[in-house]
Amino acid sequence: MTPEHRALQGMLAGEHAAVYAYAVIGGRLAPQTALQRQAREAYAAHRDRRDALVALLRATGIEPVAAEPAYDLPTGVDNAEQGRQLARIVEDRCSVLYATAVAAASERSRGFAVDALIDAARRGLTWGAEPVALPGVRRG
Amino acid sequence: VLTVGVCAGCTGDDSPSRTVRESRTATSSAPPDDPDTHLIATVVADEQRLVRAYAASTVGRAQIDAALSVLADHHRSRLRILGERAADARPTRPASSPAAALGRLGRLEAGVVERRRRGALAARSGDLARILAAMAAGSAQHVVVLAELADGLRSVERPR
Repeated sequence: MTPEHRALQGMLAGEHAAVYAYAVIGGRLAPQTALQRQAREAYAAHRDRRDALVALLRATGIEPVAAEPAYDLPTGVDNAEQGRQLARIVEDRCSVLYATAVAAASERSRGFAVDALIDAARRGLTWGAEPVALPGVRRG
Repeated sequence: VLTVGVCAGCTGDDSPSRTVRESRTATSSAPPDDPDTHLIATVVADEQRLVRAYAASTVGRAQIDAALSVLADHHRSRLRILGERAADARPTRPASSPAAALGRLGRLEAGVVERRRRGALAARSGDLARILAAMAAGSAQHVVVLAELADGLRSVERPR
């Protein structure tokens, strides 16, 4: 497996986890609220990216990594603020995976990873994250 | 059971502890006419322009100016990562139209998103592509923040 394939598989593993996390967030937030709608939209965006990644990997002859049966969430979702916090964590961790994929990607998949990074940075703000100089890049 | 978002690929090697230029000098024999060298020079000039634009866009409202200062610091931080320091840009007198100043900054940042995105796609070096993509993402956040500041300003100034 090439570094690009490893990075794309890392992205896909992150999307599986994000889809799971947003399903939990959406299920725990008060129904019919703006916040729950926001969680549903985020869920759909990550689900679509997951599906696109699966197709991308299959097109290159790589078997996509499967989702885990369950994920150990870093925080509970007992109220709206905890839901926002978990969503911020999800977008931040996905951003790191996307940025890693940008570095490893070929011309064909780099645009996909760049757009995912931009999207996650914007979405993080909607959950209350602070803007940063370089989303997805950990400072040494 | 797997911890959510376990950072596959997030192994610590994603830290830009060295500047992009230092990395390139240490690991490659990139000639001066290397396309990435030209790309970095273009980005540096662009980021310097943004630092100057922010310095020229104080609006005379403490909360907004503090927020703009944070965004300007992001551009200075990017310059440091590229091995440059921001040119001196002293704050000017507050803009006569705060809303227009915020709108202008928003348009500049939107342009940065597009240019850094194109740069990320064009970069030969994967590390440079990653940094440029992150800059695009950061400026996409700036666009949102500036729009929110402009909205807040409008709601304050709206006649009752």
